[in-house]
Amino acid sequence: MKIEDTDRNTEFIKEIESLSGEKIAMCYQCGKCSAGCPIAYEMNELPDKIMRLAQLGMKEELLSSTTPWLCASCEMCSTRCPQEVEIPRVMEAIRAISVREGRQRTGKDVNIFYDTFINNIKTFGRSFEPMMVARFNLSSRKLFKDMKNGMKLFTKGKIGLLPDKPKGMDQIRKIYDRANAEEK
Amino acid sequence: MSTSYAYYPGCSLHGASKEFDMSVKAVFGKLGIELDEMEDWICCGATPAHAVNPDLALALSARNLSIACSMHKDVAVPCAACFNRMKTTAKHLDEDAALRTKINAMADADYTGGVQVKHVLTILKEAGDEAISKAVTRKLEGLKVACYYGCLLLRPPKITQFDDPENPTIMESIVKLTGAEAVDWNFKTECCGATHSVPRTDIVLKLVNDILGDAKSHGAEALVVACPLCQINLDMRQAEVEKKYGVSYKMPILYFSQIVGLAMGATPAEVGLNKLVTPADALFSKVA
Repeated sequence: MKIEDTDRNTEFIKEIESLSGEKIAMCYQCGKCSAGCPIAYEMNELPDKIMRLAQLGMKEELLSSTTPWLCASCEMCSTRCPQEVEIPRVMEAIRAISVREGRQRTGKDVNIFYDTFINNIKTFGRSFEPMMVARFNLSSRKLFKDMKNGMKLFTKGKIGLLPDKPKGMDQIRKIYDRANAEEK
Repeated sequence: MSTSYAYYPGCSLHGASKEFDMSVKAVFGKLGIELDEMEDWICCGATPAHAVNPDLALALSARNLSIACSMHKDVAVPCAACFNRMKTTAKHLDEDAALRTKINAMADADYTGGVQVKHVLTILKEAGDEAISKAVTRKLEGLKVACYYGCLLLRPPKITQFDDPENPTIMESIVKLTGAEAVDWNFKTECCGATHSVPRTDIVLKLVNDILGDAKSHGAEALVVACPLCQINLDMRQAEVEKKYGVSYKMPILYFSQIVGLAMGATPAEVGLNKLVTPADALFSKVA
């Protein structure tokens, strides 16, 4: 495929840079990020390719890639990057744009998990694990997933049936509302 | 050195990782380091909050930092994910006054800056090898373990300032004081994928198999960890890994504080040894 410079979606590049706080052009394609990534084996586009696609402003290719949703934010790549690019922040920015444009299908279950986790801590102030996993299973239609593991933890006295709530939940929930308002 | 800390246990230590809470308290009790639990602390949001809304992530930790501020104490954190989030927030808010004002308003908080956020391993190391050795009453000789750090304690090193990010040795140096042997191995800084444990269990089983396989091939009888997410992932998912890959590990995943606590004379019940999914009793009956 021949790429003309005029094809570059510069608006999209600017958006990734403003959301991530990273300078995309810093990447000189050494590939160290991909060499150290523990999840590279599962990726169609390796992290260095994501960086290159971002430099070229190839929005469609980036939003349809599963790679940003596979990134575990383990920071191995950024720790080793000779240009000190925080690649996980770039992945975050691509995820945020995907969600905003209704394109999160590529990472559906990961996205459901993140939302379920945040709703859970907004409700209880602290993570209430049994409810979170139950809600994830309902939303992702995997009703019996991890049931056996849950029972193991329950019999070890590691999970309770009641949430451990801090005082001041009304005030705590407002933090989420204010942060969400800011995001929009 | 401060000997009383504002203690932030985090959700895991009040939930599925109670034994980490119990064993940290047992060890710190033996060394006379006081842990004063923050009142009404809230969840730090872990990876999900900053993955979808970075401001929310800062606001949640700012609220907790503000509680520590009012206690006039530095913070002790056992969970690697909480430690990472809180230290990241403290650094950003300490360096940027405008951001601090904005996030304080969002969180209804009054964080004025300057609170030190420390992982419990760092606090233990600072207590000194001599103090630790003096408290050890039962040498765990003959026990071979692999110390596993994972990602969030170490990275990004500019924020965590924890240890050498490629070859950390703090856990090994502490384990050696108990008389146990820490083996050399390859996977101590690899991520176990815990954030994907629920939505992408398939990925996690592969990563856990790689980690346990390498530890076993280097002669480890157990893994020693400092993160509740790593622990539950490596422990709870182990039976699934064994089934999927046709292997057998039966590898106990211990918190460093459990092994140190036992060496300092705490009972197995006091360090919550019976709460591990993969049983560890046989390991310690051998050295008793």
